[in-house]
Amino acid sequence: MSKYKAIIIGGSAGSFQVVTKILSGLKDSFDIPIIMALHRLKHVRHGFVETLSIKSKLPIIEPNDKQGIKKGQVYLAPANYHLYVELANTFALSTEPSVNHSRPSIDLTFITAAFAYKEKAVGIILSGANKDGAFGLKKIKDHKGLAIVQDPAESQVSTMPNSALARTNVDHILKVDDIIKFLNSL
Amino acid sequence: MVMEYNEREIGISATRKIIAAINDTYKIDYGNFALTSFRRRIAGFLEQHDSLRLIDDFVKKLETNPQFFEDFRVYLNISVTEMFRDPSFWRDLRDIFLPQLINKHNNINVWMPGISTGEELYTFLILLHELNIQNNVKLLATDIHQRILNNIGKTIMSASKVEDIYEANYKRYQGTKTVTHYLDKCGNGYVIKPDLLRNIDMKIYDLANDTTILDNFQLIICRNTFVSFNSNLQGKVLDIFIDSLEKRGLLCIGIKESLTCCRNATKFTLENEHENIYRKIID
Repeated sequence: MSKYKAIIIGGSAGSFQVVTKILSGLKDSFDIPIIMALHRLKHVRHGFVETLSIKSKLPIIEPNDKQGIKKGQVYLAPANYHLYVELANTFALSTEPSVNHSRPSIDLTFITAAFAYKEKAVGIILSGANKDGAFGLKKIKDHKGLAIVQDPAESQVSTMPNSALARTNVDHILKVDDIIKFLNSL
Repeated sequence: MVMEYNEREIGISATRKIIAAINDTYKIDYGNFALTSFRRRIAGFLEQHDSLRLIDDFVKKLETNPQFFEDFRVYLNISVTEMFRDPSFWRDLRDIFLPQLINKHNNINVWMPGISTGEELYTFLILLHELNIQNNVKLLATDIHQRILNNIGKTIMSASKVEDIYEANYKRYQGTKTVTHYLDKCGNGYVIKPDLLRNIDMKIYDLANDTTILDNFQLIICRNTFVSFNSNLQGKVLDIFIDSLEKRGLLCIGIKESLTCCRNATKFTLENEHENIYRKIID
């Protein structure tokens, strides 16, 4: 059994294809919950999960408030809510104001996951257009979790990975193919 | 230490201490609030009170200064939302559910608990106005504190929010006018036109601590208040809603809120899955 309790992924512009690639490249038996906070249009409620699901090997859902976090499941932060991880290994949603102009905010999902999972969290920051996620990844590292950033040289938009690297002494800087290999080895 | 937005991390034992002190001193229970939101609210409040570096100082001030506690209480319960958030919800209310209710009852009672800064209330008032049924609807608007109720109609909504977000929402709701048609310019922003606020009954009601049953509503609109509560408290509040709704009355909660964690959810059917509108089925 893996020593990690959750993989938390953040991304925005340019991360959609990367996320699709990761979800299609995971082994069938991959069972660590994956929690994704991706910037998205706040008024478009439907379609994102459906599109990601086409190539994903694992089921993807947008959790409801207070829903439990289960193995072998991928979760996507719903439109116009922040997604928090609670200590009881459940989600909680929030309508608190946007952070870094974003709701869902990557920072808030990462910060709450860092607090709940401590050293058993893996945070991954992918391609993206602002600094959201940089502080959250630092929090994961502060709580002795594992911090990974997509190689900025490979990222379609590198602001987000570069901001994360400026904030945190990360464990790994990886290309997408290597992120997949790494996750499959956990 | 430089703090990032409200990134002072409030630990679990500190949170328990604060909850216990409030419970002992004021007999108000925050033990069933959703923990992460509650901890973030504490951090946000402390950010405005720089001198309170230590949790023990904060606890002491809460215990000994009722005015300070009132400030904290109001802060905890304020949540800003958007006018016409989830446009398709308001569209369905306008096109399907309200016409059905008015058809059946002619006059209806509606309860909006937790109105906070009023955006949902204003949205509903505009909708009633556009359907021209404002005289058929007896509306009760409640929140936990008089100060919150007093600010209804007075709090200025920022021009950028109104002009960008609210107007875009209103277009998606397919309204026939504009949001600003219903607002007055005020300073750097807007306030709701006072005319729209006539005939609303406003009362103090604390969902988390009151248990009074209010009477005979055909519709309760309570969106994104449940997210602040844990499942226990959601169940307790749902008991109040069940007893306050008339047979086959409607309950609207936030789009990603759910009753499935509540023990008494079986008393409802999900009438509209997309907009999260429930109907009470057992009397």
